[in-house]
Amino acid sequence: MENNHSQQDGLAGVARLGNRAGMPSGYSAWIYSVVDMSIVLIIVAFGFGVLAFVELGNAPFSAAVAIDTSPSALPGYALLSIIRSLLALGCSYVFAIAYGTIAARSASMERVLIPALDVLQSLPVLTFMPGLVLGLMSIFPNSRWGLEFACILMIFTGQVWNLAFAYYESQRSMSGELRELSQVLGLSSTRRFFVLDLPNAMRPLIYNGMMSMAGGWFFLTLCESFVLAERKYKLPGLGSYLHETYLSGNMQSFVWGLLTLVATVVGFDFLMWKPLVAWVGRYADDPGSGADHDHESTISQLWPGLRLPRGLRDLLRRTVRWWESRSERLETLQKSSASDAAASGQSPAASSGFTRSDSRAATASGGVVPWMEQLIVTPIGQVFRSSTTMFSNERKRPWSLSIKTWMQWILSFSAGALVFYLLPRLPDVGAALGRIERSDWLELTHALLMTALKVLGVLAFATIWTVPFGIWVAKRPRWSRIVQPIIQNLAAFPAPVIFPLLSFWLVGYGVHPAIVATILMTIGNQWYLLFNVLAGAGRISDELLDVARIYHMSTWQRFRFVYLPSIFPSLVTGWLTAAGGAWNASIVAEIVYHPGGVLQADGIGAEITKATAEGNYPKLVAAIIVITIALVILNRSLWRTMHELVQRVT
Amino acid sequence: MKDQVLVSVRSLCKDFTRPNGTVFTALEGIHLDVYDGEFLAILGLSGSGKSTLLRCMAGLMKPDRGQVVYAASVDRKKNFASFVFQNFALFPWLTVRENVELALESFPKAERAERTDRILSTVGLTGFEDSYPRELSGGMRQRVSIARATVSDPLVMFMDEPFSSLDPLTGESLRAEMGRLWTQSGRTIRSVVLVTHSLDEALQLADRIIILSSSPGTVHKTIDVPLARPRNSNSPEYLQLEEYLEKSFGELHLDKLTAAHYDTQELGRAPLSRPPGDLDGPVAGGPVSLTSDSQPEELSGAAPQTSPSVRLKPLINLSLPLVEGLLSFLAEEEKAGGSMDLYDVANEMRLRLDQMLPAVASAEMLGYIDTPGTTLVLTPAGHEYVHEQDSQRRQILLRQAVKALPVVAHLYEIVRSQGTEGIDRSMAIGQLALLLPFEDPEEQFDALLKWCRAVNLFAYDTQTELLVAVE
Repeated sequence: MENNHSQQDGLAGVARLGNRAGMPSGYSAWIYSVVDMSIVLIIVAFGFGVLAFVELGNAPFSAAVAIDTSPSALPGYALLSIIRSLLALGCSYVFAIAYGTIAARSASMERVLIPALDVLQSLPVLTFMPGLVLGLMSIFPNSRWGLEFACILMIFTGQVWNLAFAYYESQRSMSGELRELSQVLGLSSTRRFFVLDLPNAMRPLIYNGMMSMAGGWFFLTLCESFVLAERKYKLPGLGSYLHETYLSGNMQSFVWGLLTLVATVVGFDFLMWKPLVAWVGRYADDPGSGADHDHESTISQLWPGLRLPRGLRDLLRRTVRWWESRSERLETLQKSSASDAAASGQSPAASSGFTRSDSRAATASGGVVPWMEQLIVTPIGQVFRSSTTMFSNERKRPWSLSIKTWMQWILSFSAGALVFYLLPRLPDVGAALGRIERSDWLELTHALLMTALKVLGVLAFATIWTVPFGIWVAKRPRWSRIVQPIIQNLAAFPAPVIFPLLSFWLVGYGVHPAIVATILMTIGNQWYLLFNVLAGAGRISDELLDVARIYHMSTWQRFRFVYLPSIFPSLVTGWLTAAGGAWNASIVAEIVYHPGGVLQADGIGAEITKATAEGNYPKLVAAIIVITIALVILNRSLWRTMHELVQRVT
Repeated sequence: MKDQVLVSVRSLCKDFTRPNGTVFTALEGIHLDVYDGEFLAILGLSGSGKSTLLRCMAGLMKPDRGQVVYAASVDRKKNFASFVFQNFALFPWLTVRENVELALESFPKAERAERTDRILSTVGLTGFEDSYPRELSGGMRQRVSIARATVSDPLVMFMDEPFSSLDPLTGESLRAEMGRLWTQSGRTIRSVVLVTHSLDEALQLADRIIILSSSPGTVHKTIDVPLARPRNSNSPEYLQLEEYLEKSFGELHLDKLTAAHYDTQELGRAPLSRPPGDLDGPVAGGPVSLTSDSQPEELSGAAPQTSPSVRLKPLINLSLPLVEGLLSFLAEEEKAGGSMDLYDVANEMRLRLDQMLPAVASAEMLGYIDTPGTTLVLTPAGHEYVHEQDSQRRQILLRQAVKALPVVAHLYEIVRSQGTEGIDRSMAIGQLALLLPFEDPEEQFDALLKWCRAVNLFAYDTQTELLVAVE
């Protein structure tokens, strides 16, 4: 870590020198060439990584790959892990944009999708695992792609939810004038997406991407080496390296692994997120609102010197253009059939749904494709019914039309797929659930309550230290400049990696396993609270602080009347996120493997882990049901009350 | 020149749904034409639905009833319309040049840069091509927005209060510049539709002014402006027209807010006596007698027995101190012999007309002033109130006046009958919804609280949401 830091400082210092006016131009050119070279090196290394990754996927299937525990294997493993989480992040962005768009555009979907996000982000990653692994392995029976994809998708489930929410929020809060303007300008929906929707969401997407990346790393070990139905699965990577070296007692290699992990996390922060954050600064409406201006990246000053080769850039641009022109053509097609539909849907009788005559007319007018289109666009056509034909022939609201069309496609297909997939399996699930004994249900409920208690403990403990600390730091700008990046990197560090060490040490002092588990859960999730407290404390009004000073308020009074009410809204957000993370972390905190032993606390996380390892799927399904019900209840009661309280206070 | 119509609006109606589910009509039966080559201004107060009308004309919104028809020669796909928004609507992540070029998507590439350069130099933004909007001042941002709206030579440019979010001086200079752009020889835009609440703006720029009444918005009057450009605001013709415009605008809104639309109880008891032809739509500005209906003497006493068909005057969501301010200002003007004209008073009190009118309407509702034409006159009750020196007595007078309002009186009786228990918020809102079926009951409840807490008629606990009468 030391090494890494000094290197960064060197680079940053040089960069600053190079930017200063009056420097000999040869000097700065030299720096740029150094940077260019390191970038080229990184790209080359990446290329090798991708090659290794593809080779790995194409290799004949074997559940557990032997892990090389020598430190020299580390760079390769780290690269594989990085590629996996980057792929997962890419998937997360695509999914988040689709999910957020649907939720923002349709009020009825919004009512389902947004509460679902809260539940989904609290569901432990293991609940997705058996389905993913078994399903994907059956799709790729002869290669390791199934395992690789399953691993990527597991990482994805740790990354995607807050991105989806961020995109949804950005769509909801978008300026109405810009939306109307893109209508006046007649932008196609693709063009609109690139000119308006995406840039508008850029900042939240990047800021949340940082958090997502950390969320993905969190279960690194778990995603790369796991036990399913008493069978061990291992994918070569940093996570499985750490797991292997720890369990085999090879502490020296373990420490090397940890160092590599720290370097990776810090490197990501420095080479990827900092420049990205600086870059999205231009998407800010006014310069004052860019919150992170004070610790802006130094390397970002170098990035302008790094341009994509011209040919590559043109290729990218051309791809986008090509795609746009295609989608425009598709849209005109849809539009013309939409106006047909509007014309035929004008009679009031047709407004009740697909009437028979409607679809017959459509079949008569063309082949299967127009008919399909008709089926899907007719309801939209009816929306147009009240205005004149001339009006509906015009190209108005291009985006809403096509989005609606797409949504109907997606909805009907996914609903169909779900029905066809689930229906035949329902009896099995029912039978499996029926096989669960009543005592199992009781056990699960008990475990749920135990975990709920731990989550509560996490929140209590994290609140007790983060609130005073956050306020203390936020009041000292100089400190917060120093502390913020440190905390950011700490938060991005996947805590479960050191859980075995910690729990071993704590148990040595005779601490109760339940408390150990609570402490472990806190370590990973206190940061969410701290970030929110810092953000909230930064917004405490100076005038209120002055009032507190004039009336010589005691510390307690200050907390009671100034600090706590001011940060309360942020605190609630922090609690919600931290609680979700804590539920999530229970699977790695309640059951920890040691060389030659296992430390276990009662709780739903331990139950899920055990059920997965034993391949006891009925019990796993039951656990998912129990935990989902609990999360929904919590959402409806506790968190809703909190939100209402916040709205009353503010 | 005036024969070709570019856009015509026929019987356009637009409804909106309030959050609580009730529907109100924002625009009703709008008929208007935009002729080729004219600068049309639509003048109305905020909330009169003028922006909605503009959006319907531009095709951004769909009318609920009626239609917007475009001239057969107009190809709506090709550069038909452009829009200038109140808050500029510039993409913050695009440079000035990129923002302007967005309007030129359908043009050949070589032409884009040339057109952009030309328009940016016309609006005086040469040298700022590569700046981002956040680096520009408000006036410059709106110039970019105007440049974007004109660069593609659209037939019609729609402008939604383009100068109102700028500071007055910048707004003025940009307005003058807009006038110059319009009279420039090589102008390619055929027509402009400008929505505004400023009489000056309309008079300076428009060939024709349409006055829109509020809630629901209807076309009140159309005024031609046959003045030569550039317009001299000191010429006698200009002043004459200005006076005429002020008068019709002021009368319309005073009538609207005070008398014309809300029947007194006596009138309201016989709703069927109205001739059916009259129901087609309120013919605003018609011969409506100014009945001074809200004399407290008439209405005080027992709670009025109202049937749902009676249309009571809604409360105005405004804090009472503003009314008091207006009254004392009027008293001083009266003493000093100053002008009591609505516009002069608004000017002197530094209030916009749409801030001023609710205060005037409230004062009239309380029976303290009268409004013949656009003049404000203190009534005897008003005199008594203003000249009362004892603040406690003053408070009592105001309390009586508020208590005499039919809606307040009705609710006060109900609440008082509940004694110290009071009634809760939802019940009070329910009552208000019954009394004032055409208003937003929650807003009425807020107004009720504002007025009645100020004069100590009701006590309200925000925690328990209980409303208790104060004896």
